[in-house]
Amino acid sequence: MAILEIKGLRKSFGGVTAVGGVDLSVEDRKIFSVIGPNGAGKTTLFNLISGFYLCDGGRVFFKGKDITGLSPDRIVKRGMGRSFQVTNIFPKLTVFENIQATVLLTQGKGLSLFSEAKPLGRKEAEEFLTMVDLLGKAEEPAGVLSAGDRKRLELGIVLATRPDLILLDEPTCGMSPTETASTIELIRKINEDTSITVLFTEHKMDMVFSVSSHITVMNFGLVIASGSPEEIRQNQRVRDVYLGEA
Amino acid sequence: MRNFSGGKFAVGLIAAVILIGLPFFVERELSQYYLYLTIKIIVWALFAMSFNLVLGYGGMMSFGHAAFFGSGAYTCALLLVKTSCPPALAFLAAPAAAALVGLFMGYFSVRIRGIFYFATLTLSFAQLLYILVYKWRSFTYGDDGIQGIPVPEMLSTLDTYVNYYFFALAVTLICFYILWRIVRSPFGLMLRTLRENPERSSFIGMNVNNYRLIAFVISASFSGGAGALYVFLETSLSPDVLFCRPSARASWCSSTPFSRRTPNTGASFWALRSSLSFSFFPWAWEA
Repeated sequence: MAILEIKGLRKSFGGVTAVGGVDLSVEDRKIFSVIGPNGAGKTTLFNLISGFYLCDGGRVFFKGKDITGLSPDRIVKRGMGRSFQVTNIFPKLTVFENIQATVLLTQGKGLSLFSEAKPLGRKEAEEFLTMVDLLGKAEEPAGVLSAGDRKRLELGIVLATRPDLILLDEPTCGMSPTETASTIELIRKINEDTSITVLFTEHKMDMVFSVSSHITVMNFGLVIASGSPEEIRQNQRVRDVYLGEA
Repeated sequence: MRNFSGGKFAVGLIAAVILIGLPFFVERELSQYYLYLTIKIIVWALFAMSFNLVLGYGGMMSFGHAAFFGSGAYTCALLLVKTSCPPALAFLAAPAAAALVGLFMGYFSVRIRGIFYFATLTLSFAQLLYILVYKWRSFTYGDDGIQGIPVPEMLSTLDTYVNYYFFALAVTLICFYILWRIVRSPFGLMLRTLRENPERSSFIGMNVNNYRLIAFVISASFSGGAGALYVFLETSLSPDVLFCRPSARASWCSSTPFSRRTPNTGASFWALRSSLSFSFFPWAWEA
C-alpha cells in the first residue's frame, strides 16, 4: 500500500522546468530513494512534497489524502517530517532544547504560557537524543556540533515530530565515511524498529544501493527510471546519464 | 545549592531595600525631579521589556511599538477626560486597547517575511495611527494634546512622587514576573525557535504566523500598560507618544548585546540609560 502518491507534479522557475510532471509512489514502511545528477530536481521535488514550494500542477496524496498546497506545518501534523540538504536546526538553542521544542509542539503544549518549560517533555526528548546518539551532548549549543552531529540532530528533530514518513535530503552530506556508515545503520534501524517510511535523496551510491528497496532516478526534472536496486543497476539509460558508463 | 539560594536571597533583600528606600532618599536628598525621572525609567523599562518579547525572543524587528504605547496611553487618557470611567477601569482598558491594535497590526505584519519589510510595515501602521490622532482634533485634541488628566488622589504627584513611584514599581514588577514566566514557558521556547530559524519551526509543525501574532498581541498589551503608567505620571499627553521616536528608544533598549544575554534585565538597564540620556541630552534624540 502506498503511503505517498505523487501524480504529475510540476514546478518551473521562470523558463527553467525543475520538476516536469513526476509520478511517484512510495510504499508504506519501506526505504525509497530518489537519485540523479546535480540539478535533476530532487530537492525541488522534496520541497513540493513537503509544502515548501507550491506546485504549478499535479497532486500529492499522503495516506490517501490530498495534501497539495498545504503549508509545511499542516503537512508535518499529518505525519510527514523532513530534513534539509543544508542542515536546518536551531543553532543557538542547546541540543536538548532543539528536540524538546519539537516534542512539546507535537504534544500540543507549545501555547502553554505559564508552565515552566525545562522539565516538560524531558523523558521523550532524551529518548530521541539516545536514538540519534546525542544524549552526551544534550547541553551543548547546537551550532557548535560537527557537521555529522548536526545532521543527526536534524534527524532527531524530524523523528520527534512522530512522523509516518520522513524525507531526508542527502542525509550523509558532509559526513566522514565512518559517520556515513553509522547514519546508514541508523536509518535502517529507524525503519525496522519504528516502521517509519523513508524517502531520501543521496549522491553516495553505495549507501543508496545498500539500504533502498526501491530507487527512482531523475534527470532534468523527469523520472527516467524506477525500480529495485538491481533493476536500476541494469538500466542502460541510468548508466548513461548518471552512473557514467555511457 | 543552599549557599546559592542564600546568595540569591541576599541579593533580593538588598534590591528590595534599595527599591523601597530609593524614593525617600531621592526626594529628600536630591530633588523631586530625580524621582520623576526614576519613575520614567520604570515606565520605559516596562515598555522595553514588552518590546523585548517580540525582538529579543521572537526575532521580530518591530518599528511600530509606539503605536501600542500610544494607543494604551490615549485610551486611558480619553476615558478619563471624556467619560466618568473609574480610573482603575481606564487603566485596565489601556492594555486591552493596545492588544486590539496589536491584533490588527500583527494580523497583517506577521505574514511578511524579512526583517526590513516587517519593520517598514509596522512603522507605517504606527505612523498612520500617529497621523490619525494628530488630525482627529475633535476626538483626540490633535496637536494640542490632552491636559489635566484626572488622577486618583492616592496616586497624585502634586505634592509627592513617592506614592506613584510605588504604584509604578508594583505594576512593573508584576508585569516583569508575568513576562519572565512567559519567556521560560513552552511558548517562550517556541518564540526562541522562531528567532533562530522560522523555516525549521514550520517544519516541526508550528504555525509560525499564529505564534508570532500571539507574541505581538501580548507585547502590545504590556506596552499599552506602560502607556497608561505614563499618562498617570504626566497627567498630560501629546501625539508625540505615537511618533516613531518611542519605538526607536525601545529598540535601542532591547537590541544591545547585554539585552540579548539577559533580555529583561538588560532591557531595564538600557531603559535607565536611555531615560537619563533623554533627560540630560535631549538634543541627541531630536534628530
